[in-house]
Amino acid sequence: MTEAKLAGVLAGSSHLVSFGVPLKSENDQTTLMPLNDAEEDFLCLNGPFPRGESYWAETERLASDYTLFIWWRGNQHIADYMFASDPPFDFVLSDQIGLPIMKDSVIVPEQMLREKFAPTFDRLETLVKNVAQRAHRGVFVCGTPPPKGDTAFIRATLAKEPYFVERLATLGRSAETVPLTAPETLYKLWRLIQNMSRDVAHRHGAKFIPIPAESQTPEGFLRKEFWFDITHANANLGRLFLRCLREHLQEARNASVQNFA
Amino acid sequence: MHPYKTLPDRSFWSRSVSKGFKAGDVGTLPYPLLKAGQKVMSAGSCFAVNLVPYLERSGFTYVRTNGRHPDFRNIGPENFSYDIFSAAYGNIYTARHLLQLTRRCLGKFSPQEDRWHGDGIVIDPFRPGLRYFARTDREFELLTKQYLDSVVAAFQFCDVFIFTLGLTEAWRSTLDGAVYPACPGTIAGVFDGARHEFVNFTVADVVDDLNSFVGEVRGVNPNIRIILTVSPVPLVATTTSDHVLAATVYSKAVLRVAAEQVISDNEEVFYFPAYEIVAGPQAPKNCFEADLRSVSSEAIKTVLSAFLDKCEVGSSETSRPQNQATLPRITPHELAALSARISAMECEEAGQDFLSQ
Repeated sequence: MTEAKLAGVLAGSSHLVSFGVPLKSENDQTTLMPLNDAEEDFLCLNGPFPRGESYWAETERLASDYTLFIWWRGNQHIADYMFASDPPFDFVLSDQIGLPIMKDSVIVPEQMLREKFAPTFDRLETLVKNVAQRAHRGVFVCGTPPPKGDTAFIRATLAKEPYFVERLATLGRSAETVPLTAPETLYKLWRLIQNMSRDVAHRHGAKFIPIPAESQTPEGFLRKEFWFDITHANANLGRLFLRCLREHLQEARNASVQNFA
Repeated sequence: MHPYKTLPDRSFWSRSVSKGFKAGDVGTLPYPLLKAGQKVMSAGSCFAVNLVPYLERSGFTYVRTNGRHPDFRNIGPENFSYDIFSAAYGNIYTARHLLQLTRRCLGKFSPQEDRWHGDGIVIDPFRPGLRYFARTDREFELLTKQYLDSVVAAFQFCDVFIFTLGLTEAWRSTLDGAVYPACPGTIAGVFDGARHEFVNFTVADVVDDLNSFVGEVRGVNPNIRIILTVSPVPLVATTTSDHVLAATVYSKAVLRVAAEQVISDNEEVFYFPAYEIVAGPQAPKNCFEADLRSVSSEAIKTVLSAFLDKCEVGSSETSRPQNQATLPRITPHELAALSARISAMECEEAGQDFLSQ
């Protein structure tokens, strides 16, 4: 890759699937693969799933030659809280304080949720910090899709996804009757995770790219045309996001040219 | 024949203190002080924390109305003693603080300086060391309402309320007299000589506050039994011009006299002599740790054994106080795991000493 055509590498969590990338490599090897991108601006780092240390080490190594776009987890709210807690809880999101609080819920401090989620960002913190401490071509931490605001869709999809089938079996509940966390609360949890991702990025001089606003309803949920499964978005979001990423890649290219001038 | 002829041994120093001292004989208390299975709420100074595990091990239901949500039990513990006590109020050192808390819960008092704003955080001046603080005014208001409601619920739910009087010295707002558990500017907030003043409560103050408290809490729970104790833990520091030892003796004397007055003024209010057992001249030298302030585990065991002797508890050894090392207690090691800024403090009062060094 020439200096004039600095490429971006997309790396990270399962949300890469919306860019048409397989969830995992066939032989569990970590390899760069081309993205379905006519302009050949982007590559994707494919590898084993769940991602292991070798994958993240390779991501760090690539920072010297490519602009990195990192998707970090982004499913914590779904994995931990899709099923309603007993008693249900809610919280005041500090950057959107006007959002409603669910009736009859226990209010927990946002700080408590931050401490709960904090360990899930440890490796991202290390990754961005390590990259920031060496020569690199720009690092961006990218937003992940918001939850869907449609409980009927979620119930209908729960029984099709192995992770939730297992959880339901453990709870002894069915997809039809299991209490679900209110979509409004899930939205706040998602937003908090985005904020925490952004904070990690900013602490180490990286930028955070939020999910494109056009993908969200006025309430903040993922618009229906971008739905894939309970957690992930479809290729429509990948295409929309890629346009946004291209702008940031151009910024990185410009900065790179200035650095080498 | 004269009146002393018929008095029991416990009335004579030579027969009950000089020799044959029994901690359980000191108090003048009904039996049982607590009935088996009763629901107990407690509050007070840091010494009061020690009571909680003993009560629970003895089969009493320790009322908790503001416990950690089950989804968050695997994250770090709250600072100080906030979530050890019944409703997360932490240490309450003075009778005035207890009364004002009760009035806040009942909607009868709203402190004007009810929050301090920091860098992206909103601090509760009455629980200034909270680890899980609020970040916005709206969050602060909702969390505070939930907290105050939980205090009322604890008062309504409990059969017995145990309050350990700790201090007469306090800092309060000049605006409305709201009493803080720690001097503003020590644990959190900013000290302002125009808005914050020192107060050393008198016997009359403490009596009035406790009598008012008894009346007001019985407005929500008419049958509540109240047990008062005085903490034997000396003051960390005094803001009076007195030596801290003299200030301590004054403070404890005031609290002890006030407690006596209050039990005579009210039905179903009793005094348990924790202070006398630990601080009396009969107490062994190992009642205090090397700093001559921290009450030793042996002394705590002695106090709680005497307390439980007055209660209807199971007879098995497991319900008796055991070596303190086996019981949950705030230790320096645990404290070290708390937030870095206040890691060396066991309570707000100690924090004032730590942060002044």
